[in-house]
Amino acid sequence: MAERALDKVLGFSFDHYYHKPHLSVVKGLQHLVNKLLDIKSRQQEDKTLRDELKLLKDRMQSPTVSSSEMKDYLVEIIYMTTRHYDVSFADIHAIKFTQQSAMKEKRIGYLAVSSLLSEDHHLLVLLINTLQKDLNSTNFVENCMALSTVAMLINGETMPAVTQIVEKKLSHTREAVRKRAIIALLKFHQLSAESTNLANQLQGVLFDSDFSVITAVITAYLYLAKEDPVPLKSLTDRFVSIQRQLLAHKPPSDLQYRGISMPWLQIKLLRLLAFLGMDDLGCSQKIYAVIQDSLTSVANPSCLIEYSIIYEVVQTAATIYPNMKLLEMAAERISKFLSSENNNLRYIGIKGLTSIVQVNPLFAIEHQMTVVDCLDDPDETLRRK
Amino acid sequence: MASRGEEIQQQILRETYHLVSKRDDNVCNFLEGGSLIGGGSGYKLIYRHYATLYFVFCVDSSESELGILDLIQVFVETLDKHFENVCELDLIFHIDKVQHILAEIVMGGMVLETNMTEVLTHLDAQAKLEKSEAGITAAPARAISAVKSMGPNVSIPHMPHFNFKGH
Repeated sequence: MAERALDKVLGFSFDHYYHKPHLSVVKGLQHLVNKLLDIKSRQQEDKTLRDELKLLKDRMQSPTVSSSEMKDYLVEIIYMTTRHYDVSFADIHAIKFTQQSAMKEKRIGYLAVSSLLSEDHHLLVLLINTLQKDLNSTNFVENCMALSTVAMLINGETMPAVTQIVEKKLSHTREAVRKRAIIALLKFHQLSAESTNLANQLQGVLFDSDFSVITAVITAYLYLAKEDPVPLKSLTDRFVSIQRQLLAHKPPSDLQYRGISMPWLQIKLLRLLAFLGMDDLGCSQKIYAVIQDSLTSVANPSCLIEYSIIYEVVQTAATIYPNMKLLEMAAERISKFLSSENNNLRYIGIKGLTSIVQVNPLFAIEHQMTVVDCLDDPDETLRRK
Repeated sequence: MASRGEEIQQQILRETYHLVSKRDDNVCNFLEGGSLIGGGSGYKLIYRHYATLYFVFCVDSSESELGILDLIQVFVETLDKHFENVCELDLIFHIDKVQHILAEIVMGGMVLETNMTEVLTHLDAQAKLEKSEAGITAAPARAISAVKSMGPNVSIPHMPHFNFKGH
């Protein structure tokens, strides 16, 4: 239902009269875009953009530019990055602007920096002081902005300067800060596992009361499990218990999507459990029940997200120590995907069936014909599968 | 997504557009991308088509394809709620806000939040803080400009000392 409405509305524009008076538009940007909408030739468009860039460069370098003017220029620069012209002259201005104390301006500074810089940028070190200051600030929004930027731009050289401060954020009172700190620490681990201690850091937040924070924790554990599931097996019961809470709709109802409690978290948990139960009968026995219950919770799927949970269950069942009853249920459910009219479901169905078949080829025989039909389908992605 | 040079980024974009815009509406929304993106590196393009716009996410194998399809829907619904009937021009004129919203959902290439209500709540909290900050710092400035606008020769009247004891 929401998809229909958006479909109609999103294509609506391109009349110049943009009438949303409650949203203030940067004048320079509006002026530029209105010009561009009238232009018919590539050369003219190129010239207009280059002229605008020259203008921006001069204005930004002027010693008398005010902070609200600079803010507007940076918004235009952010737009310019989507047109792929060289805007490196703005890098230093963006970095400086993150030092603004007004939150509205600081936010634009950080956004510009995210668009302009990358982790190998030569001016990255100039950001460190500001990042440290904002990470230590008592203003949680500044903490969040800094954490997001750190996750995006951190490199080996700059990481040590912020690791300890970020770790402290794990115990911040605001869940918005805690969950970002976890993701930032995961990025640090991905950069350099030896100089970080992710598993230890996560122990402290594994029992967090906020489910969004738990999602970040599970994201991190999933990454660790892919590297090496063995040290995490002792936590299996905790992961199972979280999934049980989701199946019992424990989280607040506004965390539901199409009636399912935190489906993306369920997907991550199922994948995590798959790594833990792989080739391990003891561990698998602990999780068979919750996997089966996850499957029965989406008995009559009517929307995509429910199908995605069924698919995850199937993959998990096929990955862990084989349990015939569970595999039979899984095979039966995934085969329904193949007869769908929705090509996405057929694609996912084939993926799921492939996994089950690798455990036991007998499951495939019933569905041979449907799979063969997919080979003739005009959809290239489906054919390849 | 790993960071790439400008030129390669442009090529990737062109290739993506080329691949995605050719697709019919009833085929898979997943593409095991072209030479620069997929083909061995394990990346996939997952996209949704809304009127004249394509929203394309490039993901690695650790993401659920169907899950990402719904995540795109959450992103677009959030944009719609925030902009009140979002349209293409919103995405251009308010590119900073769009990136800000995306930054609430994806952080450093990892999915941070999947719930629209959580995202909108956090955006509101930030907006309120920004407004109150502007209110506090703007008040003295407003007062001064109000006095100045009264004219150059206005003298501020002498205010009587308020004596509590008298009342």
